Amino acid sequence: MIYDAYVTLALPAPLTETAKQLSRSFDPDSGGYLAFERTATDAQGGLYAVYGSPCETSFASKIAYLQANPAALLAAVEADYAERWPDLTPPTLADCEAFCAGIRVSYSYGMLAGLEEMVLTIKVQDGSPV
Amino acid sequence: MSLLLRNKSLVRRGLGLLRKYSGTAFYPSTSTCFSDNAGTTPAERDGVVGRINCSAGSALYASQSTTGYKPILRRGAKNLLTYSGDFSNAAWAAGTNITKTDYRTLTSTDPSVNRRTTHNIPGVTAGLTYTFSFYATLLSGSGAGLIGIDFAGSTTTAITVTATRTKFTHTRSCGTATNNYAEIYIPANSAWRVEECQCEVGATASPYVATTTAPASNGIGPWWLDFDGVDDRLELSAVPFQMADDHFVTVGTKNLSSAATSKPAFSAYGTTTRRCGQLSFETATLTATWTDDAGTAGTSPTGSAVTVGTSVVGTARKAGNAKSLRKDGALINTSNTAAGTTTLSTSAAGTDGAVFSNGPIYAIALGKGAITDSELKTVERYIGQLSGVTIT
Repeated sequence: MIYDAYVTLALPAPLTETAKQLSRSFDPDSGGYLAFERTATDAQGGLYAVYGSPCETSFASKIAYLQANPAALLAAVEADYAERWPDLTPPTLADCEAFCAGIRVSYSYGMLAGLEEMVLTIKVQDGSPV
Repeated sequence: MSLLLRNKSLVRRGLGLLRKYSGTAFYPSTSTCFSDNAGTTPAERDGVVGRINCSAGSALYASQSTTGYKPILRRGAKNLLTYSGDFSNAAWAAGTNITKTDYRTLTSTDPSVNRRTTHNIPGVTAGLTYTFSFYATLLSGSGAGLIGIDFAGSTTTAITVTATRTKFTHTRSCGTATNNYAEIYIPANSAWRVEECQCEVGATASPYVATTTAPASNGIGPWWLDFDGVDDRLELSAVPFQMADDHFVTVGTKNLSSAATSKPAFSAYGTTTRRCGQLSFETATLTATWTDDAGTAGTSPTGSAVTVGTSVVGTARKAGNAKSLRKDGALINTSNTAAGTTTLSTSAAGTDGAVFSNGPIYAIALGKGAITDSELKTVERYIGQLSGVTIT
């Protein structure tokens, strides 16, 4: 599978758990919940949970629609949870609304390029292997 | 380099030695890599790698279940420009008085001076050399223009485009990664057909590969894993050796940045700070790292400088208390202080483990036991062959 698009997402750090629950559904592989484990800061020192991933163009094109329609986002996530994560509780509509209100998106190719576009600074790997 | 052109005897001897030393070899290709961490869907060139299986017959594998943390499988040179053959796309910014007449035609309507069209080069790293190339054909007006790269200011090469389709190149080392544009300057009142635009890391222009929405590799030369240097990593299914074991790690890789302070290609690690057999670039220095049980450094040999952009085969080897760094088949330095003895595990909590986390990684070999110098050099030659590095 070729992922010919790229998306970088950033949202205020207090929404990290919601982002991870939604990412569990977005990721076609099984490790979506492990996303949003890096943080970046804006010029004012605000802390953001950030995640960048290659994706299919069709997914990237849906993001703006889902961001504007939290109910549609919830429906998509609930359907995926029912199919792939039946033992887990999906996020609520309030969670989706908070996510959509707070999320910042870049479609530049590569996470560093996306964060640069959003004027966010991330500390790159410093010897820690994870 | 195709499989048929490799030294089969060297491959056989290298793999044989790895089996002798409970070893593993990871050589990325569409045969050994999968896009999912379960290993069910073969990876494609320029696609994500969720799992790589051992090429030496062991059950060990390295995997990643989160798509954004997966490296990309590449082969050969990578064209960094998106929509490399399509000026109608917005990735190409038309400057003043430049018309992108169609997907491959640039027309300047300026009455007197050169005008440029530009393309942002993504992911530029200070210290690396980049080459921008394209073919051009003169359609009307003058062929006296420029090809350039803008890193905190432009440098250009004067070119003369004629009615005969000709390839032009411009090479530049990046001092400061600012602006980051590939540039084509068209003279006044002229029209050129420009095709096969490519910007790549390195000092020469490689065979062209067309791109659309994402960078792509041209499929000529060694396979490699393309890590983003931020959070990409493949985690081994088991720790291949313990801190107390004699062991060796041989990696074919390339230093792609003198700016980032630490870039481990491989690390076996425990609880935050313990390390053994870590092979990394610390700015421009190839480094092998072992710590004591408390995670305190200082038990490692002195590193060795590697020019940014140069491929290298590095080895971290522990034999008793002797911990050595080798480069391209030769011993660089040895430290004889005691290292740690703590047992590392592959922990579900992620506190212990072994990872590949920076690249490019062309090939990697891991082994346990008291390998001899001549045997180790054979392994290094084998990894070098897979990495485009000749070790005699």
